[in-house]
Amino acid sequence: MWAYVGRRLLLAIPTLLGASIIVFAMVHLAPGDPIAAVMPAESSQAEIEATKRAYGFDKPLPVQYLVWLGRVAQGDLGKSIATRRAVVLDVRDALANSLVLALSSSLLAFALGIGLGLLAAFRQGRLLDKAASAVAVVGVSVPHYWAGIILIIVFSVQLNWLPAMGAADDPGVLPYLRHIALPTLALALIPLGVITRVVRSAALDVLNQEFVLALRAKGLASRRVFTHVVKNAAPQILTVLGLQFGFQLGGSVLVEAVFSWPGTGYLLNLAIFQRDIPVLQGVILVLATFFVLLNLAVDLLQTLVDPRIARH
Amino acid sequence: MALLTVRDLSVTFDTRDGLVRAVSGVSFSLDAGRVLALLGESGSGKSVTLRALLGLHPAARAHVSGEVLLKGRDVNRLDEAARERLRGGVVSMVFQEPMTALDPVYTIGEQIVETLVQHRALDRGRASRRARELLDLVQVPSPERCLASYPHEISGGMRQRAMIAIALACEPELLLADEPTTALDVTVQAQILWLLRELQRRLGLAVIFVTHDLGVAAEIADDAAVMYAGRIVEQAPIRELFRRPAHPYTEGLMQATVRRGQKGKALVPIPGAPPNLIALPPGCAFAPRCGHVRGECLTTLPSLRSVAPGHAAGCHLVA
Repeated sequence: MWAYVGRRLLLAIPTLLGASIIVFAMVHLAPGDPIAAVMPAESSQAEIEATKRAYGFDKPLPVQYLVWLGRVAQGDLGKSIATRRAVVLDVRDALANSLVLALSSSLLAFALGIGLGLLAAFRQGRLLDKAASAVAVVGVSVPHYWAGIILIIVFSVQLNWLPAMGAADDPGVLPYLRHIALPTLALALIPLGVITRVVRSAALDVLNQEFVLALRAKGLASRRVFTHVVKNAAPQILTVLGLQFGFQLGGSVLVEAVFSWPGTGYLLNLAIFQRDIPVLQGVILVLATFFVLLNLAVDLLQTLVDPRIARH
Repeated sequence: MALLTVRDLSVTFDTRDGLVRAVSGVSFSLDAGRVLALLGESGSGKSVTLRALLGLHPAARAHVSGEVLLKGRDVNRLDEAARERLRGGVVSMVFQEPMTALDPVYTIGEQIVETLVQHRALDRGRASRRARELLDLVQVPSPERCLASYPHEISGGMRQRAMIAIALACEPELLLADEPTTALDVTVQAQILWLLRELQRRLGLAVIFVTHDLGVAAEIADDAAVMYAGRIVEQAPIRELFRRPAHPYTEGLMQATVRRGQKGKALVPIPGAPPNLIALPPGCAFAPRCGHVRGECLTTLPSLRSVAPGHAAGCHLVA
């Protein structure tokens, strides 16, 4: 088992290097000159050249990449062009905020989605199944930023129950929860829909297999049969949960923008408009790393649940 | 009293294309310790009949009528808890393909133990010891390793032995075997058949053995019932059936099977195909394929008529 974990970790390295090259190259492929964005319009050519040298933009690209990678390996993501703060600090704070939001919305979506999906599968064709399918379709189809705006209009503007934007300034659990409630709801919609559908179809696949009939034929109580079905459907469900959690972290740009939630999405949004390349690179690289590690964790979990997935 | 009495059992499925009459008016009875072979080709209603005996057809999709009296109690009128006690406890089932009938993510040991825990309320330790004994009973060479294995880690023959061990775990009186040798290699088939016959004699089991293989039926059964298009068309002690098949379909089956003295002679297939169970003809379902067909065969359904004591056939030719 540990040899397998070690090998999977080694295999993650080329993936991460590939991601770093793409991150590095992408920024240089994007239109617009970052130096032009930060320098005053009337600055002289010499001043521009000096700034370029200061940020290392005058060297050939492969050298720039290696220098950048060397610093990244030491935990130095450079300085923000816009704020001159260390990118690591910005990304760290944003990542913490995004993680909390991703966790809260994932928990909500996972709990509801798995519950609804299983209920729908075991009540196939009945009213509850249809209701669950309706919820799933709405969840997947409604744009989450639009849902966010509607939530703000209803709960913040008209009912005035919950704050519309930002994270809590004053300490305490209750203000924090009040601030995170609406973004959590908006961000949970899509994974709720996806998970409901995947869980339903995974459970149905298992239910239609002969061994379920065989389990009932040997007189197993329906509660135990349910456990068998869930354990068989688990690997497929786990994969989707892992992917969805990753999407929650990386795909929350619009929702974070709508609610001004100070997370990675918000930071990314800001960095894009300010052409703040070090921040952009830092955020994307951290998110990519996170995604790779998450997939690794899901794969390892699957081998624990399903003995047929090889451990060697 | 017979261990099992089936009276006028019918199973229909409501499908998008119409009402499928999978089993119609099947009646038979089975005494303790006897072996009945249920013969017929694919789609003749053998497996559907077996599942109905356990009350396994979901009420939402299947309509089951008639009586299935197991030790005098009607399976179809029991509540689910009572049925769960019957299944595995009094009557259990061995499936055709052990690879799909065993749960792939549980070890063989876990699957035997959970059956014992369900019916016998044994603690885990005792159940594990009993599981080992059961694997000895079905002659698994290294029981410890088999207990710790997942179904995909052992051979087809071992899987079927494990399936039989699960079925026999709680000492049932009736074993339903749904083509238990069909999915296996020929050499393994013979071993499993021999094992089943030996266990049947040693434990005094009553067995309903579903097969389309007349040779297998001749090996193991005392009596036989031949099914066609959801009905029993002939019923007889197995030797009598082979000696004097009374229904043209039974005769056709035998002509189409390799038997002693076959060498040099061609097999004679039955012409045509089985009828669509959604649109059954008004008369005898076999009439369109029958070489002896007469006018009344096409209009009137023949009832089972006695050919000899204990031998009956549903054919107008039997006077």
